[in-house]
Amino acid sequence: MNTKKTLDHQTFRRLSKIYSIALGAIALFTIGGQFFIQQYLNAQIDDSRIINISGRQRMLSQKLSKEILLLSHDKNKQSRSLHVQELKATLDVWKESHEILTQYNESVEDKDQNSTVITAMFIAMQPYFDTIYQNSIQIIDLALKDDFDQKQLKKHLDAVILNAPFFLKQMDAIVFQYDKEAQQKVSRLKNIEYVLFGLIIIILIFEFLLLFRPASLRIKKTISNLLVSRKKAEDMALRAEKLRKVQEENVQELIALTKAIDQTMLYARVNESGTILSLGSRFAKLLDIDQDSERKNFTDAMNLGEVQKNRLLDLITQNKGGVFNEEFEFFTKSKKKIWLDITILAVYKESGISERLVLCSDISKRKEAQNEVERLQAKQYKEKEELQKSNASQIVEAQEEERKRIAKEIHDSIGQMLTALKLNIESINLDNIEKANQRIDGLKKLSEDLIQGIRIATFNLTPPELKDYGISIALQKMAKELTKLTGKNIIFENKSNFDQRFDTLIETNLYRVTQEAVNNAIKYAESTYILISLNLSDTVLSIIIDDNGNGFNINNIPSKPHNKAEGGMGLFFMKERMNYINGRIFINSIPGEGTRVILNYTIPEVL
Amino acid sequence: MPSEKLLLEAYNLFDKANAKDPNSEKVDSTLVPKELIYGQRMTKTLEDFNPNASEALKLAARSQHICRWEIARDSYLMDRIGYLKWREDLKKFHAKRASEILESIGYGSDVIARVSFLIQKKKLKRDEETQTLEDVICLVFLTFYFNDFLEKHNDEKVIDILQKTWRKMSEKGHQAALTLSYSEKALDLIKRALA
Repeated sequence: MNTKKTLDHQTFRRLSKIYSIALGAIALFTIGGQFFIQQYLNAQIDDSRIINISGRQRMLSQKLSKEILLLSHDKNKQSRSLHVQELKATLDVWKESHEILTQYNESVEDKDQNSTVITAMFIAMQPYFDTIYQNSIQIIDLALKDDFDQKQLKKHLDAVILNAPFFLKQMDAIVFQYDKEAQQKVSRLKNIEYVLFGLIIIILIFEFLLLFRPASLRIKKTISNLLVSRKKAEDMALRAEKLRKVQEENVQELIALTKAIDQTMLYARVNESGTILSLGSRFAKLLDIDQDSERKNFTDAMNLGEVQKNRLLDLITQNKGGVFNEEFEFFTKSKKKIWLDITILAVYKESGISERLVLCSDISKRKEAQNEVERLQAKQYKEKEELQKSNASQIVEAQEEERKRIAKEIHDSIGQMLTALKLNIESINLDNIEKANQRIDGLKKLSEDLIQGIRIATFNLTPPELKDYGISIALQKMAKELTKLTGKNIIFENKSNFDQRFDTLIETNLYRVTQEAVNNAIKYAESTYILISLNLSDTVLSIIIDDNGNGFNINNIPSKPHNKAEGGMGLFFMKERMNYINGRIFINSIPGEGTRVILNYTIPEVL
Repeated sequence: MPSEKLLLEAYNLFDKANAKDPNSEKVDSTLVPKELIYGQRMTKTLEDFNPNASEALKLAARSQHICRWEIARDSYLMDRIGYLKWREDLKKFHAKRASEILESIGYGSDVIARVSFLIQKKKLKRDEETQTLEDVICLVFLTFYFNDFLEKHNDEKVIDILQKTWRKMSEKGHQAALTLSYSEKALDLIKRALA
């Protein structure tokens, strides 16, 4: 049994105690008071009887006098006998009443002060009583005799008549004294009643102050506390109800979410050793196992190789709160290869038990695409590598050709001119001044040709302006020099006043490709007018070479010449150079009208 | 790196290192690097044998044979002294390689020192965790490698090895070993070894 009493029990017990004490005190006091008053009233009942008897004594004394007088005057013996009987009866009652009063006085004498006064009054009255009584007896005795002696009677009659007023007077005083005492007693009872009433009021006030008021205050406080508690409880209930509703909504959402996840996602819940707790239907279908196949280890259900299985087991068993993600490859029961991206989360419950949530996404398509991309990249890389090898070999060949060309040019032009110069110098005969002068003039002309030849050769190799001032100035210089050298109309136009510098490699390749285009226009197209335009848009530098030469059918040029004899080497190198610097080249040519070559180079952003 | 991820990252790095093993073993008709699968089997067996193993013991078990192929047996004399020297050097090598990996991902020196201690099998029979590691090594041998071993060696040699193995194991290890499933021949040899 619970020893700790509830609040209602405590309050009930306290109130019972207080009411018992209060009502007990009132009841005790009332019973005591009532007992006292009843005692007092009993005394009052005797008083009224005594007063009544006292009053009757007065009447009897007068009746006695009257009957004696009647007796004394009656001559008839028969009627006198009747009077005697009446007198005798009256005298007996009178005497009996006197004795009652006397006994009464003796009984109350010790209790009451006033009764002492009455007793004294009775003592004073006693002689009158005795005289009247004795004489009345004598009168009765005389009256019963046949010889009714009037003298004798008169003597006794006088004694009675003489004492009767004294008796009456004393008896009056006694009756008044009795009445006075009775009134005093009533007055005292009244006072007692007042005192009792006052005491009850005091008790009630004390009870009110010491019992009921504290109890009332305590009850008020308790009720107030109960009301506050009830308010709190109601608020809590309201909040709990709200929370319950929110929770219910959340549960509904979770159920819907779980259902959606179950049907759409590959997920599983496993314990910390990997045993399946629940499995999504889609996942179960993929793994071709029963969705309710609890107690089976997830890593076994996955049909992985041992290495991957161990790895997955590590991720599940050693996951102490992180989120882990890895890709796994496995074969389904239908031998279909699948790539899964598996994410494992540790979920800790309030009970202390931890679970692992395994979420998977099928990345097979992405993996296949990735593998395909990698395969293509590898293939492309291989092809590019082969192409670069091939190009490198052709470039080496071209370099050799270029060396041969330069050697041939030096040999054919500069060499021959130097040989002619040597021969001319050797053939000068100073004896013949006139011929010698002609030879010297010839030598001067030969020297000028020689200088021009050297200039062309060196200019074709590397223009110094390119390194010093950049592509714009170098192309301008090239146009100027080639105009001078070839006599053709070669114009350079820099529309956007471009003068930005690039990496040497970029500038050299742009220059070489432009040079090749211009050389082609001079050498093969027999152009008379060549325009080199340089233009800069936001991010692209364009060099356009227009000529009015023969033009050619671009379809006749092989995209990749196999040997020099096939032709098209120049265009091939131009493309290679532009590829090398990540630029683009566009060639448009119409036979009989001319050719346009466009070189575009995207300027890299400067961070 | 968060501490809860350290262990798995360490496993990952141990596996990557062991995946370079040029020696391979056929598992489920697929060739896998020998030490890679050995390390994983050590972990799996430890988890079954003592699920409450300390992190140091788990790390020691996984890296117990890390990069073992790098020190070839034939680089030592092919006698008992050479064998013992090779084994001793291997322990130090494994401890050093494991320590380097653990240090690189931020493990504390106390854990690293403990892993190194365990890999070198110090205080065998006196240190509880060293003994557990030795039990696990023996259980892995009996579970995964014993059948192949007994095919390659004569019965006397197998019994000798079984007796040596048994002596190194604790009572708990013995109990675990007796619950493993063996082929008929293996069971016969075990009975003879323990008789």
